[in-house]
Amino acid sequence: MENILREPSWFIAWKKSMDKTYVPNTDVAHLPEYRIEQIDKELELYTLKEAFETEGIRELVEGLLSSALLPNPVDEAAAHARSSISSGLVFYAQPKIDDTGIAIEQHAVIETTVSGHMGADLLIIIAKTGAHVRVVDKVIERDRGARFSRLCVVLTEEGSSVELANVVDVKGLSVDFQRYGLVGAMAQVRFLDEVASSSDCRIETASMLIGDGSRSVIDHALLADATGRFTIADRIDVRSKEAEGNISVAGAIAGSAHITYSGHTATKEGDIAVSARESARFLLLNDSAGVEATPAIDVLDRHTNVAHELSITHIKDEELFYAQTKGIPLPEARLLALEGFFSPRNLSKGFLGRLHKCLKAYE
Amino acid sequence: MDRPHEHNIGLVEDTVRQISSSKGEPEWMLELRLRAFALWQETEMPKWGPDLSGLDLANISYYSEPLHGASEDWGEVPDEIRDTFVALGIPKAEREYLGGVGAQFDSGAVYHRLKASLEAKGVIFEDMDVAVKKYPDIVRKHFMTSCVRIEEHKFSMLHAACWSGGTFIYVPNGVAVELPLQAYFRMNKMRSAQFEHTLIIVEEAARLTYIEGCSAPQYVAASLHAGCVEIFVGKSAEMRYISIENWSKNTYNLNTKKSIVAEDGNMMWVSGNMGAKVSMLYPSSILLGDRSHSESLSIVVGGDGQVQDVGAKAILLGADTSASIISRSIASGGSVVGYRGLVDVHGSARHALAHVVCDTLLLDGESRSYAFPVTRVCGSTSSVSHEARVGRVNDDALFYLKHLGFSEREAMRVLIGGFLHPIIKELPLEYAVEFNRLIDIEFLEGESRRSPHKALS
Repeated sequence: MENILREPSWFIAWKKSMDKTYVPNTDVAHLPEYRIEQIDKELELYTLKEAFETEGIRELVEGLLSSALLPNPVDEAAAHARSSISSGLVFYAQPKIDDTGIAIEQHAVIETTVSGHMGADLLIIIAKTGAHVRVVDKVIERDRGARFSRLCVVLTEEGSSVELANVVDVKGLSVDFQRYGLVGAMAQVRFLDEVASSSDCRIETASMLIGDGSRSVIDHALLADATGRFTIADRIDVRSKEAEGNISVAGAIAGSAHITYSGHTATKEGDIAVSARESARFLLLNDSAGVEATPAIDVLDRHTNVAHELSITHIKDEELFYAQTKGIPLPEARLLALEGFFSPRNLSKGFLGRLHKCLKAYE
Repeated sequence: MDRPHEHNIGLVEDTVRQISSSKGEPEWMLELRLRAFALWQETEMPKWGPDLSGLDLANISYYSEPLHGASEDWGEVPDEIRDTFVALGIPKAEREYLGGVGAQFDSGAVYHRLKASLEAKGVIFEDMDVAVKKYPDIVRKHFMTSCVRIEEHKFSMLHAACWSGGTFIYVPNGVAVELPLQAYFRMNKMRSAQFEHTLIIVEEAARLTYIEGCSAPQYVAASLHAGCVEIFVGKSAEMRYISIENWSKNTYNLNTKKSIVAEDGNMMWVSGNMGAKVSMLYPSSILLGDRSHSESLSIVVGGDGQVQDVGAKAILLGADTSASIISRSIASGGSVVGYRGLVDVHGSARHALAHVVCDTLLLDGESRSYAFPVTRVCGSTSSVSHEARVGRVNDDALFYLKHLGFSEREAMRVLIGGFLHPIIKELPLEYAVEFNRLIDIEFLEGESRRSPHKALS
């Protein structure tokens, strides 16, 4: 078939290695569309096509995708998603130093609009030594019933940091994210999500703490309603000393939605002075909602401190009664309880609005 | 000791038939065994959990026909067998604080006695082989029908095909058995398997504490323990099941334990797991009746390359049910200590509560700890919480105790004792003392933890 997107041969070979049934994408009319709302001028941004054509960036992208550090797809669906990648963005950040000599954070806010039957893209963020980047990506659905997959790879060199915040507020769009952070010495990667959906949502997030003193945070705020089916899998893989990992999930489930959550923190022998924590909280808003959670840990060195906690609960009558005794009407009391469940996160207006609608629908 | 009636290295249908005929069992039990054997043959080994490849099922003796039946008098038990149990302290315990004792040596019971006062109240405490014939209706109704089902997994199938010995206990309505009943299982033969079956029925408003102990001498070749415990807790009844599993380090301990708890019933599992090469133990409670409750308290001690994959399950079906699972583990000597558990709250379990805690101390850099706690909840009126911590003995606490004049060893002992205390305090005093002694031997004296039995190995 014709290489309509003019992808380099190594990229096609990589996609074929993912999925033997690979077929080149010819539906160029429905590639994901990107709108840049805001971006610091020093932050270099390339489309995937531009990245393939830019010396230096091309080699970085190829190196990342073929790296042994990049986990293999967990199943056929994930492999198929990777082989379907037909567009994407690459952020390349050098350190930005202010007048006083301090490295300051660079920002970007983008919107990804998905239309058509299926879209799959690649997002790469590379932070060079000492660079600090924050990227906010909002996923917009144009067509209900579409499916969107994204492979995201974040590479942080020594002393750098990347924060990637995904905002997903959809009804009929099925979402499949595979996100990986490769964290160097004294570097940090933070994956933050706000996901509200009535459809299928699969998010796999893994941070490999490779350099000594590396840190990672994986944080989800989730709202699954109607017939939403969420599969969330988080992993922190410690391969260094003095590393720190933190996984935190807060999810509200309504309608006949269901969340399946698995967390896994793994350390190996020699990973001394490691601290890791997993915290998962779920709030069931009605009787048809359900959750299955497995926050797993695997520790091979005693010079670590690893802990996890899980709670699955509901809005308690005592909480509502207390608010009502203070003069707060019941609907507002329920909303306060629901917002309080997600604290101390600062939720976006969109997410709060969705929470509000959800409560009204299931009162 | 000569054993002319040993069956059989490896398992074939003839062995199953021979087991049944040598016991003179009713036809229904033979049919159950054969059905289980057929299922076992067509079922694969489990693909999850610890590595069981060292268990050579084709080279194990599945049944050693007892040379003597069970007696009610220790004086009638063959000397070498009696001496084994004397060294374990069983006859002394019976005299001092137990309501009844059963003792099993390899495949058969050698001793069984219940205090007359309990017999007069209608309590039945019987060797399982005898109970099948003596109380056929009640045994047939409960034996691997609704609690542990034959089809549950490969080793429940194997157990159903080969079971031998064990304990049957029946406590009638309203009877409180104040003194504990105990059974002790000794697997003495090399390269053998033990499949004792324990069936306990505690009727409405009755009360019982039952203790099981087990051990085996140390051999090189692998042995297998695939016992089964089924407990039926009636309305408003209370059941406390205590087990100290101290199998030798060549034993694969793949026990299945489950209870069904009726309305307002209360089930408590207290386990001390120290032995075995590989253990897979998940005592389970099905909280069927409204307001039923279960607690699982376990201590897991891993040393010398052992693999302890241990946990608990609670399935909450009734309204206002509650479950608590607390596990405290210690890993040293390159052992692997894992918690694997399940809390499953169904939609029918309105206002259910469950709490799970699993903590592990890693005492050296060679050991490993993992936790796979699965929690499922459906419905918006229940609450479940879980917490787990893995780490080492706190350096600050150690320093503080040394600063007060404790040696490092004494300080470690104090801190380990404190870590295990919430569970050890639930054991009968004599067992708590024994368990503490075994921990001293395991961690602090560096001796074989089987030293009391060296003369018998």
